[in-house]
Amino acid sequence: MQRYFGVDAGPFRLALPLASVRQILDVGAGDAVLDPRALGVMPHSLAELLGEAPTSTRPAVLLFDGTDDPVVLTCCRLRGVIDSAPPRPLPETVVCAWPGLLQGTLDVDGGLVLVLDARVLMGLVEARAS
Amino acid sequence: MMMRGVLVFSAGGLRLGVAIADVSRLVVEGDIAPVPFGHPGLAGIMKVDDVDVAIVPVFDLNCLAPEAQRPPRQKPGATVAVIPTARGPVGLRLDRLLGTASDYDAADTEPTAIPDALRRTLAGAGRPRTASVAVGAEVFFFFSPEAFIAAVGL
Repeated sequence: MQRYFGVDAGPFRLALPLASVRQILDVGAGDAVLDPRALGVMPHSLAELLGEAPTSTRPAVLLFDGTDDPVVLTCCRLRGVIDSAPPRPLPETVVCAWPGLLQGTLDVDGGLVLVLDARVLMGLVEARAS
Repeated sequence: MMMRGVLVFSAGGLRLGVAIADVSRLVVEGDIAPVPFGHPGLAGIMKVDDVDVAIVPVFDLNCLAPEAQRPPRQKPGATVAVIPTARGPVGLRLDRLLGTASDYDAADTEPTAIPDALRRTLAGAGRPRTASVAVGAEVFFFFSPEAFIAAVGL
């Protein structure tokens, strides 16, 4: 068994290795307005990083260890911890233009969840920021 | 006359056919999970319960044109033809499944006014001789799975 943290980002159902999520800064939802200045680091929308629009106006906020600096990502919904067998690899006919980003799929409650490689995701954040 | 069974369907605005032997199964489209940074013609991936559970990418031929919109992520109830290839399974979303032709004649016809990307997935044409009623006797174009793999750069 491996442990993942499940999130929704725009239309994507995603999971990240649990150890890669350093801290949940905000669970999202509710009426309070998120002030990015309180985070100290400019947050990046995970949905926008992946090329889609976010679907939540009150996102959850997660802290990651970036390659050099902390990275703060917002996501539309937290799904919580997923205990699962290792991801099933994707067939070669599923091509992602960002190599290495997709590790495979988990079967969660009958639906497919894409597992992201956290290290590659941090590279994507840095590439988008630069 | 060719005696090879052909599955005839419409997709991408064309009447297409693929050898029945090339199709591992037909499934009803279920829950599709979108894939970030995927091919523009890729609607997403779908779980297909076979002998073993398989993950199948579902492609929509309507979206092969360079200026085309992304395919609808979900088209519940659509028929998906699962076609094994050397690179792995390909799921082809059908606009309409017409039926089968048990034999046909080769036809010397070229599709007109279609995007090059779609044209590159085709390999000749046939005119049904013996076919189910909905197929009729109109010409269809052969969809080539291997040409499709090459056309979408997989």
